[in-house]
Amino acid sequence: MITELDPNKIAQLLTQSTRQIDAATLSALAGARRNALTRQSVHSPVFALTTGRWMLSLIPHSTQQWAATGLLAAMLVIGSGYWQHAKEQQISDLDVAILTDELPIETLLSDSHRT
Amino acid sequence: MTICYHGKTLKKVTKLSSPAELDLFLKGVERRAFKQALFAVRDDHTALDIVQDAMLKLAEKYGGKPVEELPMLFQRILQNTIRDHYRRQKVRTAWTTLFSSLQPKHEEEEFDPLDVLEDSENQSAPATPDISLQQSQVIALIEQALVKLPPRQREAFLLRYWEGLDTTETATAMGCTEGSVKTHCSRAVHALSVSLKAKGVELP
Amino acid sequence: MQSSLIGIVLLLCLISTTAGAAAQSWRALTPAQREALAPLVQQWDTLPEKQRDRLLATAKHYPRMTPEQKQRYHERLPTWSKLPPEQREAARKNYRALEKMPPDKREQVKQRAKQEQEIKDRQSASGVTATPSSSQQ
Repeated sequence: MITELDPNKIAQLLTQSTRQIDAATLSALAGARRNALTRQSVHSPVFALTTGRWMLSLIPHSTQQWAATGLLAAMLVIGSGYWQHAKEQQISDLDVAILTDELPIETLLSDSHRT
Repeated sequence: MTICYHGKTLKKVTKLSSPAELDLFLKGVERRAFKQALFAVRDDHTALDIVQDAMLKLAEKYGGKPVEELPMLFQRILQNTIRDHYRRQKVRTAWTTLFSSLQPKHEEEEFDPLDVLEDSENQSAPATPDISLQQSQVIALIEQALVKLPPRQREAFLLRYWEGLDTTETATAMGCTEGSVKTHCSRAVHALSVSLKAKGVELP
Repeated sequence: MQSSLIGIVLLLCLISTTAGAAAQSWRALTPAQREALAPLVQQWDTLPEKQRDRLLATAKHYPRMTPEQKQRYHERLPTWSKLPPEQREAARKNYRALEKMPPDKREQVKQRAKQEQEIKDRQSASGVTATPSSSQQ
């Protein structure tokens, strides 16, 4: 009876081999990824959806008239808060990409990529 | 800045995946997806097509799903897309005649010839540039052994141990029972061990 | 009665969303957040609130990163957080510009940058500074 190889070690070596994939393939994969992102089915940011549903689930139907005016005021305030939130989210999304991309940060700090 | 949740009165709202989350996920998975497809179809161009296809389908159909579900969903799409291409590649008449002569004892669901059909054609693994020479040789041998595995065993092995899906997720991605997953996995590990040991590969 | 309670809750939440959360000291972070931001444990409490908010937003993605992404994230956090805000803005601008490039050019830039980085890493590891390492024959 042979001793079985450790599947996790095999997996580690396979991951090593993914680092050797050639640049042309990598760029094709990146292109496919960007293309897929443009087709993502839902674009509405989380903020609007969760806040909207949250408010609707709270307000009782019997006081709908009162709710409508209050809601309008709330919407205006939330609107400006939302805008700020969306901008902030864009920035932190970009930060995540920068911090996890293969590209070393140093490249982004110098201007070497412009050549 | 946090959105406040008044815990008691609210129902939990499932968060949809943001574009950034989908992007991060795809970035992390694309290389392995390419390799998986390559092991199955053994052609770079087709493998790229498959991955591109799978990414599109994920984004279009499931782009709004919670980010926790993306790994399993993507794998399911990827495996299905690979299988479609793979089946088209194989000459169908060949295995229908093999079918009658193979007849293994399959306890689980309906027999799928792909389960046992091994591919013994001589395929050289893709060239790897110099990591350590020894490592790249071992990797090449592993990849060759993977290519020779029956498709279902290879799928189960890669999903469990390389993609890190648990048994339930793997079963959902492969469209079979958890019992089948475990069987496929143990057979795969055994087959790989035998094949690699025969070539003198030891993994420290 | 319920409606006025709801009204108060609504108002409070609006205030908290627009005014921003209270400063998150390291002690106030969850274990998950601390794991993600571990490299910054020393300087966390000295960072300005806005920067902490942004870092926390990036930390949300940590659990789902691949091991490699996690490693890079941890490696880069100290450098990133020490940069003056203008440099971070410049980096974001450059990254956006890079994303707009056609895929093959972008890949070229990446490969060249990685090679340069590897050379620098090797030089600093072997203690060599400006002079290229001699061939080992």
